Amino acid sequence: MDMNTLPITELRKLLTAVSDHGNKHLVAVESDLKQAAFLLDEAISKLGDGFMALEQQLSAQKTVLSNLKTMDGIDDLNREALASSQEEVHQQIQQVVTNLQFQDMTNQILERSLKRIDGLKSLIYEIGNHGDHADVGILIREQEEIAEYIDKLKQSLNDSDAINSGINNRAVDQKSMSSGSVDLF
Amino acid sequence: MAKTILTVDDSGSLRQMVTFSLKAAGYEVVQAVDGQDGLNKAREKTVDLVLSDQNMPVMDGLTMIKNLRELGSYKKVPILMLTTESSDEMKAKGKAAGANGWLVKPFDPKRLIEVVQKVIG
Repeated sequence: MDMNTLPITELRKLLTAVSDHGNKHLVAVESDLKQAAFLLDEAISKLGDGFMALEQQLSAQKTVLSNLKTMDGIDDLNREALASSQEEVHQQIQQVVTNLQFQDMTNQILERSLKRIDGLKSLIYEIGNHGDHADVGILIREQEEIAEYIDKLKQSLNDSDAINSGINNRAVDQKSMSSGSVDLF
Repeated sequence: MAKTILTVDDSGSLRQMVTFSLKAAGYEVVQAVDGQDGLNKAREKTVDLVLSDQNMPVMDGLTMIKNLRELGSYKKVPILMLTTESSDEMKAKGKAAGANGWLVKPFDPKRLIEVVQKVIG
């Protein structure tokens, strides 16, 4: 297309529409992520409290069971069954402690996604912002306006890149809830 | 007398699980919600071990370690990182900052206690 005939007014209208549309979707995604973070936070709080209450009761039962195991009248089979059950409960508690750490990791991922959405919203705002300054001039002026507009957009992209490069991509790369490595220096 | 461990993490659920595991093994636990809070709590009472997250608001774990190592009373106190970060680059930064160990989340309570016992008994 010949630059002298490029319809800058139409281009700006299009970019403003793209910006409005994109922003609407990003706001919806942002809202969903915040809602997910809120629900996860509420769930982990209740799961944690429930776990602590259960563990307290199990500790009380453990004392009673330990006393029972030493009493006369309980045969070896039941004594072994009690010991085995106590060991199983202990193992399950250890496993739950590891699994209940899921929220810490998922929350970090959600926070990182929200930061990226912030970066995208700024970029989209810039596109719309430049598009709003529609000032229809003569054709030769339009060419200068396009160059100026593209420069501003490039700057916005660079700014957005700078913001997003500060977001740590490798902070959470766990793919399962198995326990992590240990290094002593 | 029970040894005291300072656990620093912005996640309430993580602090709850760390505290539960350490208390079950007989340790006293002091909690802090970020690096700055950790620094304040560490100044209030010299603890036997610091167990810290890395990515936290206000002040991250490595910055807190560097600040702690400048305090006379924390020159030799063991500091372990407990974080989701697992890259060799971050571990090297942790070592350079003054950390004595690096544990990647999620932690296994049995393994955590083994490491703590190895470091402070």
